Amino acid sequence: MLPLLWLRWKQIQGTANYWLRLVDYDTRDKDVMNRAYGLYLLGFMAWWTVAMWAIAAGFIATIGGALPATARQGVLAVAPTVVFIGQTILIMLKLHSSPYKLSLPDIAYVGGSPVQRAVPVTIGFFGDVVLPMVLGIVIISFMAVALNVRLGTVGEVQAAMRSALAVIPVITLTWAIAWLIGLARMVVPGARRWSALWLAPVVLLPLPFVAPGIVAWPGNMLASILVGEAVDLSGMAPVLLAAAAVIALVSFMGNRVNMIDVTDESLIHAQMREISNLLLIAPGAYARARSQIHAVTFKPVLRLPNAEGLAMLVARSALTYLRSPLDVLKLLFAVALVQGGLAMLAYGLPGLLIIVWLYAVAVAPTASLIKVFSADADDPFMRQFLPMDSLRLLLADAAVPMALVVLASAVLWLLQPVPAATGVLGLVLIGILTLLLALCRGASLLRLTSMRAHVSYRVLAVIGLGVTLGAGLLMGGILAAVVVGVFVIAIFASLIAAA
Amino acid sequence: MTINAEREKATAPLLRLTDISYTYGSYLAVNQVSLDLEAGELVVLAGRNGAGKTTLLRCIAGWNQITHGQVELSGASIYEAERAMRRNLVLIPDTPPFYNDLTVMEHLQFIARVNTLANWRDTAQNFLKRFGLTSNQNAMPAALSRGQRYKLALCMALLVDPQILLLDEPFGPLDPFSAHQLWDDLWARRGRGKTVLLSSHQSPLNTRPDRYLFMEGGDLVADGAPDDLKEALRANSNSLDDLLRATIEHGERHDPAAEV
Repeated sequence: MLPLLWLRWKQIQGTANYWLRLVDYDTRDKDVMNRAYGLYLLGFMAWWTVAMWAIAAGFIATIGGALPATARQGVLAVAPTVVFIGQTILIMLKLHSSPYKLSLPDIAYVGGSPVQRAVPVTIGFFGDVVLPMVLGIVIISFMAVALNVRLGTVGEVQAAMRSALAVIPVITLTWAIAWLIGLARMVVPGARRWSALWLAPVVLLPLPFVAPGIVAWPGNMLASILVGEAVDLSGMAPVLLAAAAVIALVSFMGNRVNMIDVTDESLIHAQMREISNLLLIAPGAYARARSQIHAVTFKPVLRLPNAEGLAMLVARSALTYLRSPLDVLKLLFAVALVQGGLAMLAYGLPGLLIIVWLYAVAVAPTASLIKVFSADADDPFMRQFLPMDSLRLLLADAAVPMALVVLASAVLWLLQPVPAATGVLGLVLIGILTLLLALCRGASLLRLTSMRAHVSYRVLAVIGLGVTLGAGLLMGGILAAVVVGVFVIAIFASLIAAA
Repeated sequence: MTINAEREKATAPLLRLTDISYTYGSYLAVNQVSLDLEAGELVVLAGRNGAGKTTLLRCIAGWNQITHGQVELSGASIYEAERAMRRNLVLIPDTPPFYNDLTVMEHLQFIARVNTLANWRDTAQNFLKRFGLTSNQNAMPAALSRGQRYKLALCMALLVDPQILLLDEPFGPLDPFSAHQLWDDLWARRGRGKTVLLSSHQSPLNTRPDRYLFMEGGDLVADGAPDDLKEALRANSNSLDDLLRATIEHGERHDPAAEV
C-alpha cells in the first residue's frame, strides 16, 4: 500500500508543480526570493479564500433572510427525492464503465503489478470521493446558512458545521454503493457485454414513492439536519456504519476485478487525463481532442431514419441522442435551470437569487442542448452540405433536446400545486426559457461577437435570460417574463438567421 | 435589374475573382488575385508551401471572408447569393472533418436526404465501390485511414454534384492508383461541363489539366494552358514539376531583391 500511496502523492505533487509553474513559482528553486514569492502566493490564496467565503456567506445569508416560511418544509419534502435521483444517476455513471479508472502511468505501473487489487481499488475509491465531498460540503454549508439565518432553531454557523459533517457519510455511502455496483459489473462473468446495463437503475426511480422510508433514509436524515430540525448528529451514525461496511465490500469486490478489463475501460479516461490541463488553458482544443478520442471507440446503435429535408435533421438529431444517452442525462442541467427560474417567479423567492441563478446558467454544462448544431456549425466542411440558414438549422438540430427538456420540466411543473392559470403560464415560460438557452448557446457558436464561444454564451445568456427573468421579478409575475422572453427570442432569432 | 445587367450576368464567367486579397493579421496571404473560371474547366492551382493556395480556395468557398475584392458566381457576389453558392460550390479541405456519430454510409444518406437528392442510394453505392469503401460503409469515419477519409469526402461532394468542385491537396493522402482514378473522375466531370479547381504539388503521371495557376508569396504569378506556359517560361516540359520549377526560377530572376 505504501508504494501506491507514495505514487499518488508524487502524482498530486506533479500536478501542483505544473499549476504553480504557471504562476511563475518553481518548487525546485531554493532561492530566497522564490521561497518568499511562494509564501506570498500562499498568503494571497488564504486571504482570497477567506474573503470569498465571507462574501458568499454574507450573500447567502441575505437571501436566506428573505426566504418565505414555507422554504424549510419545501426542502424537507424535496431534498430526499433529489438526493435519491442523484444517487441513481451516479450508479448509472459507475455502471457505464469501470468505476476504478487507471491513468496512463497507472496502466504501466499499477495495472501490470502483482499487488493485491483491493489496495489500488480502495485508494482509487477514496481519490474519487474527495472532490464530490469538498463540493458537497461547500454547497450544503451555504444551504444551511440560507435556511437557518432567519427560520432556523439553531445558529446558522452551527447549522452549517453540522450539515457539513452530516454530508460526509451520505456522500461516502452514495459513492461506495455506486462503486460496489459498478465493480460487480466488472466481476460478474459476461456482465460487461450488456451494453445497456447502465440504464437499468432507471427502474429504481419510482422507489421513493413506493418505499419512501427506506430508500430516502439518508436524504431524510440530511434534510432534517440541514433545516435545523435534528440537532443531534447521532442520527448519522447508522449512515456512517453503513458507509464503512460498503467500503469494506468495495475492497472485497475490488480484489476480484480483472485489471485487463479495468485497463480496457480506462483507456479513454487515461488519455483524457493526459490532456486535462488543456481544459482551462484551451477549452476548445480540449473539446476537440475529447471528441476525437471518443469517436475512435464509438459503436453505433440503431439506423439513421430515411426522412427528407428538415425532417432528416430532426431524425439525425434524435439518433445522435439515442446513440449518446449520457448527453440526454446532461439535459437535466437545463431542466434544473428552467425549474429554478420558474420557481423564483411562481413562489416569489428573493430577487437576489437571480444572481445565483444567472451564475448557474453561465457555468452549467448545458452545451448538450446544441450538441448536434455544434457539429454542424463548427466546421464549414459539413456546413456547406446543409442548404438552410443558421436559425432553421439550429431549431431543427435542437428540436429533440429542447422537447425533452420541455417535457421533463412540464412534468415536474405539473406535479406542483399551483393554480391553473399559473400552471399554463408556467408551461409557456418553460418553453421560452428552454428556447432561450438553446438560442444563446447557438448564437455563441456563430461568432456573432468577437469573443470566444464560451465567453459569448455567458454574456448572451446573462443578458437574454437575465432580462427575461428580471422582468418577471420586477413586475411580479410569470406573464411579464413571458412577454419580455418572446421579445428577447425575436431579437436573438433574427441575429442568428442573419449570421 | 437592367437589360444590360441581365446580359452581363448571362455572359459572365462561372466564377470570377476580382482583385481578392486576404490577410492573417498583418500577413498578406493572398494578394490581389484576379481570375476567371469557365464551365467545364479542370484547373490545377500550384505553388510552394505557404504560397497561399489553401487560403485562396477557402476565400473562393466563402470560408474565409476576403479583406478586399470580389468573388462572383455566375455574375452574383457569393456573399449575396450564399444559398445558390452552397448548392453550386463544394470545397474539400486536405483533412476533412466528419460527424463522430454517423457511419460512412449514414454520412452519404444524411447529406443526400437533407438535399432531397433522388436515387441517391445507387449513386452512393457506386461511389463507395469506385473508391474502395464498400467494405467500410458501416464503419465510423474516425476508424478510417487519412486516405479513406479523403475518399469519403470525395464521395459526399460527388454525390451532391456541385457545379464547381474545389479540392485542396487531393493527391497527397491518396495512393497512386486512387490518384489516377480520381483524375479520371475529375476529367469525366469536366466533360459534363462541371468545373474543377484543385491545389496540388503533384499530379498523377502523364496527366495535364486545361490550365495551371501558379502562386508565389500570395500572388498569382502564372496562369495558362500547360503548353503555353512551357513556351512562356522556357520550361523543359509541360509537366507540373517542370512548370513549377520554371515559374519559381523565373520569379527569382525577375525579383530585384533576389538578384541583390
